[in-house]
Amino acid sequence: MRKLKIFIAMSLDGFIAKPDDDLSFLKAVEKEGEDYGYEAFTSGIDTLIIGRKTYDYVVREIGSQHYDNGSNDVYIITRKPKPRKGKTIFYSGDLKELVLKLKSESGKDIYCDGGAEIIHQLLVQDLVDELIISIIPVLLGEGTRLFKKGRPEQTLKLQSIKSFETGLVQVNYLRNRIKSL
Amino acid sequence: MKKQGVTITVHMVASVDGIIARPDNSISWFETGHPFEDGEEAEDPTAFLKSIDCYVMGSKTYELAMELSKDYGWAYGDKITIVLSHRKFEDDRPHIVFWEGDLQNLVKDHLSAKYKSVWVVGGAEVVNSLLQLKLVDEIRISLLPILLGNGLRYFDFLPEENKLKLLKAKAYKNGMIDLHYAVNQ
Repeated sequence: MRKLKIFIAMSLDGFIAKPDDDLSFLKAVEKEGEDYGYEAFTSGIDTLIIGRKTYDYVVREIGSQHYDNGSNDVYIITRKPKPRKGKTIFYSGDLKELVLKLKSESGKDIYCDGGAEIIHQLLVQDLVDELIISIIPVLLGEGTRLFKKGRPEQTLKLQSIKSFETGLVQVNYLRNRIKSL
Repeated sequence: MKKQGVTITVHMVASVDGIIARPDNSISWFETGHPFEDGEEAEDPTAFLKSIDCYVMGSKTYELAMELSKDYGWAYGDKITIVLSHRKFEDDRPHIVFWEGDLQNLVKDHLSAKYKSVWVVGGAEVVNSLLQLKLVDEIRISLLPILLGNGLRYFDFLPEENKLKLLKAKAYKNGMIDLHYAVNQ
């Protein structure tokens, strides 16, 4: 079955952005020719799920082609339905229903690119299968947290850990749904 | 003023979502049960713990450690343990020292003269204050492969940004990872 994956960067104290969507802390790990596995990761997915606010931010900062490259199915989770635009679908129905339907279909894996609210809902409903977290060597102190409270306990299985010259550490966890003794 | 001689290390064991204690303080989540085949064997803790001179903790961490010691024994051996508190506790053990004074004085006048390697083992308030006073040299975080979802966060809204330098990252066979950073002061 297709997996739902999260690929995201956070500070050591768990923030994915400073207040006002400030992502400048990521500049500290930018390095010519180093994409921290992003391209390899995105080559394994063909469907994206994105929160509306994150989508608006990316469209404004980078452009809509960042998600809609002509072959990916892009689902924007929003309260206000809008007509589809190319392969971009504005979805206002039940999130779990959508994820279960997508997982049951054939294809490459599914990538949720945030934001924090959508990730929270996916974790609460135990729909995330793999977490790839890039830990940035900084304590930001405040901002948007990757992990909000109010989730059930979930055991993980460490798949890999990789550290880079820039001090970024990338960890890959699988959701482990098999109960241990 | 910069302290001399002593290295102050903040250490925490947390879940991947940054939580150090379940709402009910139970610690069965330390048993991971999901091995990581490529991981290293755990270090011999006795040799490693020997290098630590002195522990520092806040009063709530002390109370939790006392509670846990009923079932698991006191986790810090007979090493000097300084408990930061304005409250009075009954504890006759000679290696437990209560400190109600200023943190900066503790580090400058007391710790830097006597010790080489001091480990601060919690909680969040103590760590926040030490970071704010620029008294932390290193941070070591052990992350266990679990999302706890609720409970006490270790880093809870620090007053300012702190840049870090990665010293080492490694994984153990039990699925725990160890992240070791220097604090750029």
